[in-house]
Amino acid sequence: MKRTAKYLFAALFVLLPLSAAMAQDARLHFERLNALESRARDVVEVNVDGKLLDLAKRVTAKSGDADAKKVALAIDGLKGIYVRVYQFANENEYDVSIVDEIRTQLSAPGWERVANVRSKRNNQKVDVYTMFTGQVMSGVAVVISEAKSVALVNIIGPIDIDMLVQLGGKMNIPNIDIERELKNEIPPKE
Amino acid sequence: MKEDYLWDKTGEDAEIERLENVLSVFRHQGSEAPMPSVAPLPEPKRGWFFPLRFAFAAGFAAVLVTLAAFLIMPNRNAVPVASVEPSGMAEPPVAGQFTNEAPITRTDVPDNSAVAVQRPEAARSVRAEKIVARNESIKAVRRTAKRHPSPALTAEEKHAYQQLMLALSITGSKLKIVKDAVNGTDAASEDLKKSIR
Repeated sequence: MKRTAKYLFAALFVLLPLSAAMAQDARLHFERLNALESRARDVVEVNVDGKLLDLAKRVTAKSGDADAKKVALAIDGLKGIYVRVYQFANENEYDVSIVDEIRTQLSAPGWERVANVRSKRNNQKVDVYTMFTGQVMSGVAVVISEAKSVALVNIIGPIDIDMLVQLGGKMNIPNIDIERELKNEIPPKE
Repeated sequence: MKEDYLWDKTGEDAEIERLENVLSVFRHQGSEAPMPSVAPLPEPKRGWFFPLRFAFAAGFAAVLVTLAAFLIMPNRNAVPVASVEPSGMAEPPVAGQFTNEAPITRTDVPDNSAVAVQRPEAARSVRAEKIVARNESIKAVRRTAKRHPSPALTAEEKHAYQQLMLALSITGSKLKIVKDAVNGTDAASEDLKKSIR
């Protein structure tokens, strides 16, 4: 009886923090995506976390711009945001298994798929996952793969997604070619 | 004259004796001289009237100085005596652009203005009010500038802000793609359902 209790206690001691860590770890590992860099025509890599994020939050909060204030409210609990976008010159120029490996990470416990779109037009695959710790959103992952491009977004911490969608494209930042081309490639709705 | 009599009254000296007899009236009797009666000095009056008089004089002097300043200052700045009604054409002062020579309430006054030229005292008070209003507006602008300063960002802050905005913009556009894709799928499935019916 005493041994059983000891084993049970030990199991709980090991499993509980492990599960907690797994549940809370919304960070995806993008190391394998480095293989796409050599083949991509355009690469966008943005990592904002830690002190950089704190600094940016302070600046955003101080800004008098109305959109910036909305952003400041939306990202108040944000802990990190990681973006990878790869644009290729030709179709199917990248190894699809690399992107599938990222999707495999999202099948781990804690992640819930909220959107799954497959379209043969442009070979588009869209996946959106969220992770919740209790009632609080702890992560968001967006994986969009098309014939000529791959885009991954990993957000750690709560964020107002609706606000992001509203402000998408409105922020006063330098335009990047990759965004214009993707907009041109998306066919209009019939 | 024998000097001994004068020295220690030894001997005889008729002339000295005669003088002594004549002046004996004034001889010291041996008692202290009576103190003369001295009238006590009157205590200074500490009534309320004296400080009031002084305060009144000081206040009157201050008023004179102020009026003199008002008389002098407008002459230097060449502000017209006639009062001017502000119109919507006047631009509010902007921090950093305000100069002491531009009263904020001054606007274009037509030549045939029906505004009467006021008496000097009233004009001075109007000018004083304008100066006070101008100073208050300067203070308000400075307070506003302090509260909402245009942020002087360091290179590090700029970089952080730009990186964050870039990340959020890309995220927003990708989420919009997702939204469009989902809406497109929903629309396609609705069309399919309608066609089956």
